Parts: sequence; C-alpha cells; structure tokens
Amino acid sequence: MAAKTEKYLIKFKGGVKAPSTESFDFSKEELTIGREDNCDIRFDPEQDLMVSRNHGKIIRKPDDSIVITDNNSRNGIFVNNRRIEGSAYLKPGDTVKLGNNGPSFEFDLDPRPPGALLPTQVISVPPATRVVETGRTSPVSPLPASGFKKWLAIPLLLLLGGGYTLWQGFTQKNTVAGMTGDGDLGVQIFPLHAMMPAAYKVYANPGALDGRYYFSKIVLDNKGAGQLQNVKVEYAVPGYINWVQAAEIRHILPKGSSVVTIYPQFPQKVTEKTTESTERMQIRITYQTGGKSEKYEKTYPFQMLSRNDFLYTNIALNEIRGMQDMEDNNDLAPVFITPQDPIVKYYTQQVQEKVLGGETASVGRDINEAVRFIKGVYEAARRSGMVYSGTSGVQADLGDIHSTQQRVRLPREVITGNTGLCIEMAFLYASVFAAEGLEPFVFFVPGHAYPGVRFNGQFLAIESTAVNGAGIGGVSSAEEAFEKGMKNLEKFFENYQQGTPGYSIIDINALVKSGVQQMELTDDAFLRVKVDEIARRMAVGGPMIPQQKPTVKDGQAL
Amino acid sequence: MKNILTFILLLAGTYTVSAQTREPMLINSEVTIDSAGNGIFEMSGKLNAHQWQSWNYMYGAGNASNLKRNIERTLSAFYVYDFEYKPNEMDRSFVVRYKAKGVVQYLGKDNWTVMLGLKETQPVKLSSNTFTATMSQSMGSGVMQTNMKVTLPADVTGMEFDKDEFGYVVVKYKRPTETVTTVGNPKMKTAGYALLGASLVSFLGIFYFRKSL
Repeated sequence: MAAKTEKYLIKFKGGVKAPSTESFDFSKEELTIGREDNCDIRFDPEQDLMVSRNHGKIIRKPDDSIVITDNNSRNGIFVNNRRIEGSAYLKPGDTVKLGNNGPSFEFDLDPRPPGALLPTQVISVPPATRVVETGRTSPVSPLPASGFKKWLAIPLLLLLGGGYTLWQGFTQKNTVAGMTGDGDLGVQIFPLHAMMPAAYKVYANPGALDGRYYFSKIVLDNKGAGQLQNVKVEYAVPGYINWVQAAEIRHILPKGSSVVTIYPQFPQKVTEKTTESTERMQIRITYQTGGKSEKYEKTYPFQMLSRNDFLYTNIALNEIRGMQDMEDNNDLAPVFITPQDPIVKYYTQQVQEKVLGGETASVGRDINEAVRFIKGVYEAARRSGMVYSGTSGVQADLGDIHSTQQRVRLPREVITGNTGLCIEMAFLYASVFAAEGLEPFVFFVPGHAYPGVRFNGQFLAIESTAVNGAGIGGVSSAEEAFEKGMKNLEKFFENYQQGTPGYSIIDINALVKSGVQQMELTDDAFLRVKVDEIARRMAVGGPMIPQQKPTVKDGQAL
Repeated sequence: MKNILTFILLLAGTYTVSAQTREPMLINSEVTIDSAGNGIFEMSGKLNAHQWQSWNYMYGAGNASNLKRNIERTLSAFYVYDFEYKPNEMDRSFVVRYKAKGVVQYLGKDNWTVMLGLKETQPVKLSSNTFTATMSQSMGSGVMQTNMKVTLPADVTGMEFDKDEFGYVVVKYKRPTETVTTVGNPKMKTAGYALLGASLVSFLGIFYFRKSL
C-alpha cells in the first residue's frame, strides 16, 4: 500500500537559494511563487529579478493532481524547459524555471504518489530553430479551457469584422453623377387664337401689363432621368416674321420645367390689314440629351384680325359669365387712341386754329382753359357735321353679346368719314386730348362710352355723341354737351365706387406707361386733303369766344 | 414669381374701390421651391366686412374661376396649375394655393437663381435656405402689407441677394445638382449582416463541440 503524500518538496537548482530545499505541508492547496514577502516560495527581491512579485502558483486540485499556473508574469514559467501558457500539470521531478534564464527548482512530493514512483521520463526537447527571448512555445500540457478560448477568437473576429462592415454600410458616402440617362421632353403650347393687329406693339412687349399679352406660352417638361441641355425655342410666322429665337435654356433637369413666353415682333405693315385672315405660327424646339441632338416642331393656326377689330375679350363666348369677362381686354383700348397719328395731329392743329383761335389748353393753366379746349373739340365736330352712328358701340348687357369682337373705326377714319359710334368718337376725342398733352380718359357705362380728361386732379367729361345722330334728338351746343358729360360723370362715379358691373374707366396715360403702346400710322396726303375740307367747315362762325367767368368749380359745371 | 406684387394688388383690387377702408390689409404669402425648381404657393388674407363683400362679388358664388384666370394672367411668366381656393365665410378669410412651373432657373455647375418679383424691399435671411420679405403698398386710402416667406430646398448653400437691371431682387444659391452624395452601401450592409451571422453560428458551433476541441 502506497504511503500518503505528506509534503511538497522544492529543491532549488539555480538562483540565490540553490542548492537548498524547502518543504511545505501537503495540506496546503496552493503555494504562491514570487518575490513578495507573503509568497510561499519566495525569491530574493533584490537578486532574483527575473522573478515577478507574484510570478505564479502551484495548485493542488481536489483529485490531488498538481497544476502550476503562470500569473501573467513577465518572463514566464518553464516546466522542463518548455514555457507554459496559463497552466500545466506538474509531476514530481519536473524542473521549473522562472524566466528563461531565471532561478529554477525541482518539484517533488514526499512520499511520491504511486504513479510518480516510475522513473522520470526524459522528455526529449527538439533543438530550438530560433532564439526566442520572450516568445511563446506550445504548452506542455494544455488544459481543455485554453483550446476553447483559442477557438473563440474566430467568432470574435467575425463579430468585429461584421460590425465594422455594417457600420460602413450605413455611413459610407458615395458621390455619383446626379443625372444619368436621357431626358424626355414634354411640350405643352398655350397659344393665342386671335390677334389684333392694332395691338401689335403690345404683343411684342414682355413688359406690357406684366407680360400678360403673350402670344404663346410653351411649357417644357423633362420627364426623363437625364438632363436636357441647350434647349432652343424658335418661332416663325410665314409672311411676317422669319425664324427668331425666343429663348435658350441651358439646362432642364429631370422632373424640372421651363416656361417660354413668346412676344413676337410683327412688322408695322400689319396695321394696314383691313381684312381678317388665318395665319400660322411655327414653333421649333431643338435640344441635346444623352449626347444626341433632338428636334420638336409644331405649327398651329391663329386668326389675324383686321386693324379695326377690337377683341373685347380672349375668353370664349360660351365661357363668358359676366361683364368682367366681357371687359377682359379693356386694357388694350389705348391701342385705338392715336395721338401720334399724323392725320390726328393735323386735325388737332386745324381745331386749334379754326375753332380755338390758336390758343391751346396745356398742363398747368387754368382749368377753364382745359374746359374750353374740350368744348372746342366738340364744336369742331359739330361744325364739321360729324354724325353719331348709333348705340351699337358698347354692349349694354350680356344679352347684347353676339360676338367677342367689334369693328372700330380709327380716329383718322372718324375724322375723314365724319361719323362714328360712341366708342369711336370717345377714342377720337381721347386722341386729340392726348395730342395736346392732356390726360385723357374714357368712361364706359353699360351701352355707352364717352371721353374726358383729368386736369389738376379733377375729372372733366363731355358727351361726344351730342352731335347730329340717331336717338339723341337734335344737336347740342358745346356747353350743353359739356354739361351733360359732367352730369354723366357724377352718376358714373356713384356706380363705379359701388362696383356696379359695366362701369369702368380707362386711364390712357397710365396704360401707355404700362406698355400699351399705340400703333404707328403713316401719313396720307389724301387724308390731309379730307381734313382740309373739314377744316373749312369748322372755320364757319369763327373762333369760339373764350368765356370770362369760370365754367367749372369743384368738378361741377357752372 | 414675377410681379407677385401685381398679383397681390390684383387680388386686393376691391381694396381700392371702396373709400371706406382704413385698416391695413394683411396678406401672408408662403412660397416653397422644390428640388426640381417648381414652386408651391400659398396666399392667405383676412378682410373686413366691406372688403369681403367686394371680394365675394368678384370671386364668390361659383366665380372662383375668375380668381384662377386672374392669377394665370398676372403670373404670365410661369405655368400655374393645381389651384385650390378655400374661402372662410365665418372669418372672412381666404387661402389660395397653387403650383407653378418655371419659377427657378438652373445656370449649371450647381448654380441656381429665382426671381419672385420683389422690389423695394430688403429680404432677411432666416436660415441657410429660408428668408422673408415685407412689403407695404399704399392703396388709396389705406395700406396693404404683405409678409412673404420663401423656403428653398434643404441642401441650399450660399444664398445671397442681388438686383437686376430693373431693381427686382434676384436670389442666388448653390445646391448639389450634377453630383449626388449618397450615404450607405447596401452591399456592405449585406456583408456585415452575413459576417455577424457567421459569428453567431461559429460561436454556437464552438460551444457545442467545446469538449472535443
């Protein structure tokens, strides 16, 4: 029967303590190794510097097997010249070295357990292939726990790799081209279906009345994924306008749009048109996309009216619901007022000489001078035998509307024809007033129109149709016509302030300043001769005698 | 939005008709420009009794199409669509909403300009992509005040104000247009999830076979 082990034996082979032997009772479960004072196997703190303070320990396990453990010492523990990793079994007779060149001791038990009585096997250590100062060698007797930990490195590495890759996947920034592929042009055209030659200058002016009188509006949409570049929009009106570029747009982005409004410059010869005709507008759009050049073309017809046609509204007849709809183009009325017309100027000059005795009513003078001038224009018309044509000049109510356009005589035609509707006579008077530097106005009431001026902030008006003609009953004198005009004015403002339908006012000068430029008309020797004939009739009765007493006070005719 | 002032004046045309109006008329206007350069407009106003009566005469009782027509005429430089008009009879207020194409011009190299018809006013920056402008107009016997707020796309930088030859305010800004920076890579996300899955599987395998390792 084998004797029970009673002691640990530590036989120092190297170091300061060699060749002594220390023994410890076997009941101790743990023997600490180091330079600390409290270590069981204590080494010299001054001389055994290869030994760490708590270098390692020898542990007796419950089954009495002995294990030596390295406490992560700097120089390691070598058992039988092999460095251990973590822990290793220890058998009696094993040589333990602390550090490669540190102190060493032989571990033994007294008495040795039965298995340990066998002769110590000489472990043949293969020659070192490289010098390892602090390198690790394979463990002498690795525990299962060390291998397990080694394999854990794999999922750990995968976890770290996966985490980093996922973070990159969420945060990585890439700069790519914003637009790839081809653009796809979509075109919508909103044309004007009828054009008034008298307003040709307005159609050419993008600044007139905020550009609302465009001739055509083209909406360009890019429905594709790529850009549309260098988009050029051109138009032509055969017989009037050669191909002209309306706009060039450098870029239209995907889902983007661009709007081109066309304001064509018709030549002055359109004012010579006395008949209506159907013309064509041609539109051509060229652009580049995806490296290719593309083209789009479209032609649409429109009505070119005569120079005498006044298109009251651009709204279709079946869409008109009120007088406001019917007066949609009232702002274009000034195009028919032609103070710059050489014939109107000549006529005005004749009125001054033959009726007013050479005097003029210029801005800054007494209001009575303006009144005299207004009366003088009327007197000239009366003496020349001008005839009022009738009441069909202005719509009285919606039921009168059979057409959205009306033929209007130009002022020169009213003069030389010596006749006119109320609106035509109003336009003539306004032309003469403007030719003299006054501020002309036209007052529209249901079924009628009459002219006036604003002088030093005060409105003056005259009933221009009080000359010979149907429905009026005789010829009024200039004073009577003026008095009637001023009474009409009082009633006009009452309704105008209340917003009564059909009561509107045209401020000629303001509209001209807003871009509603009048048409240019050329001189005509034949028409001048006609004016001379009329002037001879005007001269009958001599110049009007100027009144000494005031005729107007506080806007009221006296 | 060229001549927005003219449009506002047109909308408030009734204001000048009546000589009885004395209190100022307040109009709030909000404009939002999207990334493609199209605009979304919203205008709202609150009127007094007399103004409301005139307003309804023009645009109430089924005449809202007049309002649309007036807007289209005044904003002739744009194409306006998607109209929405909401009057509130109780409050005598209204809201007009619509969209417009052709509001903004892209000049290339990430440079953009927008013109909103602002004149005789000094825009004030609120943030890198928003600004306000206040305009007061004398309307006969009263005053109309318009408060406009404009919001540009969120990625706008370098917003600045200039004037054209007619004195209108021109807003210039930059925003990434010809290149796009994207965040995230789907393939890397997939690879990341795959590695995490492999980590989990390998851990389970090691734990299961730990005794034989």
